[in-house]
Amino acid sequence: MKITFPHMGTAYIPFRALIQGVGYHAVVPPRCTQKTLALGTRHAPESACLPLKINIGNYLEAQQQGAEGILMAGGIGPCRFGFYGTVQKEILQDIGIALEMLIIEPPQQGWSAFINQLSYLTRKVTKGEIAQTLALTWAKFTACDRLEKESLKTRAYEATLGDTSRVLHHSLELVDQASSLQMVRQAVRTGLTSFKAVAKDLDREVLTVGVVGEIYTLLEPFANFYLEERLGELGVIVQRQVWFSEWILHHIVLSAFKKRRNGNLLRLAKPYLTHFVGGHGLETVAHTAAMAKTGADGIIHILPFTCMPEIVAQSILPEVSRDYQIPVLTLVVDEHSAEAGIHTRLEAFVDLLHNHKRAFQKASKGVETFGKKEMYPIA
Amino acid sequence: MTSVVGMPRALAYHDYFPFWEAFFDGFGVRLTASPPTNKALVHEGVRRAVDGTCFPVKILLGHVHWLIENGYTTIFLPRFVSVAPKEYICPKFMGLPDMVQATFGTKAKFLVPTIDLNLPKKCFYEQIQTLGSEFGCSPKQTKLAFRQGLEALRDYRDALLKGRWPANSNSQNADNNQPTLEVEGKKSLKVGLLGHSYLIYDDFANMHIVNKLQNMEVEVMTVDMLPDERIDAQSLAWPKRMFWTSGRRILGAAREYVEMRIPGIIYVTAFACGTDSLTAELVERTLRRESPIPQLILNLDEHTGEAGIVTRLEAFVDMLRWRINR
Repeated sequence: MKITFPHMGTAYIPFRALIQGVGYHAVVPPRCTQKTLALGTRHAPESACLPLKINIGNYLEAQQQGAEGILMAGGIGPCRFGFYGTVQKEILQDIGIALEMLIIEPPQQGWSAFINQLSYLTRKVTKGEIAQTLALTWAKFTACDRLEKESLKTRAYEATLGDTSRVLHHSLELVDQASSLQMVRQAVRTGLTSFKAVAKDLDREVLTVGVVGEIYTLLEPFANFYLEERLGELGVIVQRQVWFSEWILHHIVLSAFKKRRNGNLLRLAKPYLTHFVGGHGLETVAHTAAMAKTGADGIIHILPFTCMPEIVAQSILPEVSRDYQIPVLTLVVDEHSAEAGIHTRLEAFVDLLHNHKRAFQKASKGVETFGKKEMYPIA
Repeated sequence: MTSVVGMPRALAYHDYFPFWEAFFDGFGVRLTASPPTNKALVHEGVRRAVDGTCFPVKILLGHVHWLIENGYTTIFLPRFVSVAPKEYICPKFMGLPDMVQATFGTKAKFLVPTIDLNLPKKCFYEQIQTLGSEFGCSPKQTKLAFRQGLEALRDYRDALLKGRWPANSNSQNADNNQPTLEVEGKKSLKVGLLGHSYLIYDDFANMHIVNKLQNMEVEVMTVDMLPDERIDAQSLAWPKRMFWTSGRRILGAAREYVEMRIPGIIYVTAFACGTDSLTAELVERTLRRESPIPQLILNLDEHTGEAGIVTRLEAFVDMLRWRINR
């Protein structure tokens, strides 16, 4: 069976390794475009959040390339992602698309069901091969994240626009093609060397901006209008706070065994949000405080329209912003968002951060007599 | 300590107010709700909410604003995480007290017990005891008050099951304009309502939809008029057990309506409601395939015009009558 899956940033690389490793043919959907979104919007419920719509578009485009099944994750709530697969299945059935949905429910729904699902999916291969596949998949997850992290630092200094992105795409392709752990490691090494070799303008006045929010819109560049690339070109070191490999570690591996996760970080959210709210709502608040402490110049909070956990965070962030004196820009995206609008706001925000930083530097040198608080009331 | 505590008449109020009222009564505290939702109140809520917030949360912010403006210094705002094991209410309910406190700051003292039945029952009782001790209550007294609350809740649910409307079964703040339903069932046309209690029982939010239907001589059923056993049994017939309690009840009720051969179903939902965006989609698609019952989905928010609702209700009811007489 040819199996496809939804796009989510670079995750197609490890997903491809995973599916092929257990003996299926992987169909990677075409890169997300406006056409993908238009297809999804046509069939998805109007008030569903953006990722569900893009997912549907991915499935339909992958089906045209011969996909027969879809690998999708389930969930136990409270975020509505847990019901994505179920609803998507109904939608595909109604529009007469014969794609089999393989929804993997997390072990919290019941270990026996979880193991049954996995053994059904891996019935074609031996246990040794499963172990090898998992190792390779995990290596690719961490490799992609490692390379992306490096690109975020490099891009802010690049002398020629687009150099970093070219290196990144090339080295990600090497990771994608790697068929063994050694080859993955080699690809990462090559990538890191190439990043070093990118011509840099080290005198550039760069800013550091933390990017927080809902995981899909953070990870999928199409959903965030290539926010990271755009910011990098504007001379901003982007510190994305959510990574797929870390998410897997915390939410799948550790939480299955009821282990406590990132407690120190979440403690920072305590004064503002005292309970987890699903998704990354709590992490958004905590990361904003943590980034402010480490001296970031600003925070960008991104979420799909009507995202429940992030709306809680969005309501609370003004307080964090005020207390820590850090500017926060919230970007809400859906199928009506337009690239020009988002980019204008990013440019304006970066300008604001530059001014903010310069004024702060002046103020701290004693040139200006204003105190911090009076000068920059962030309402 | 304070002897009067305010509770916003929104969201969880509609399901649990009688419980809390009797509970607080148990140690001599009066729990008073804000008045029924009105235009001015919604306006205040909308002003304070971040855009993208759902209509019911905007309404809640309006009610909290009213309480603060009217001198309530203590506001009761429980954090509802889960009211049944392995289920949630909605992510916004979980962060609601924090959203409210971020919006209103320290203008009032908020009493925020956490209701989370995903945790062992012990934790829930601890929360109740802490609440009692806030008012200088002994553990024994609190336990008694808690029992009293449960009894009130049981009576309230029984009344709902029998087709009474909340304000009538509720001693305090009874609204006179709330409709009473004749369960005797002389009326020929029955319509099943689906939706969260905070929309179905909030007459301003739903544009008096129940009154309007009754004026058209339509008998109205709600999710709460169906016995829990039926809802639980029917909700298992769906492909995946839903993890939102109200969503699960809506799914169960939808199937039960189908089995009752109810002539029409109206799904009342609110703009930007996250849980309904998928629950309503499941109901709509599944029922359309499996049954001939017509469905109407009404999506409400602060911009909803009454004329639009009336037109759609009339057209829907006409169509149902036409189908029956055909």
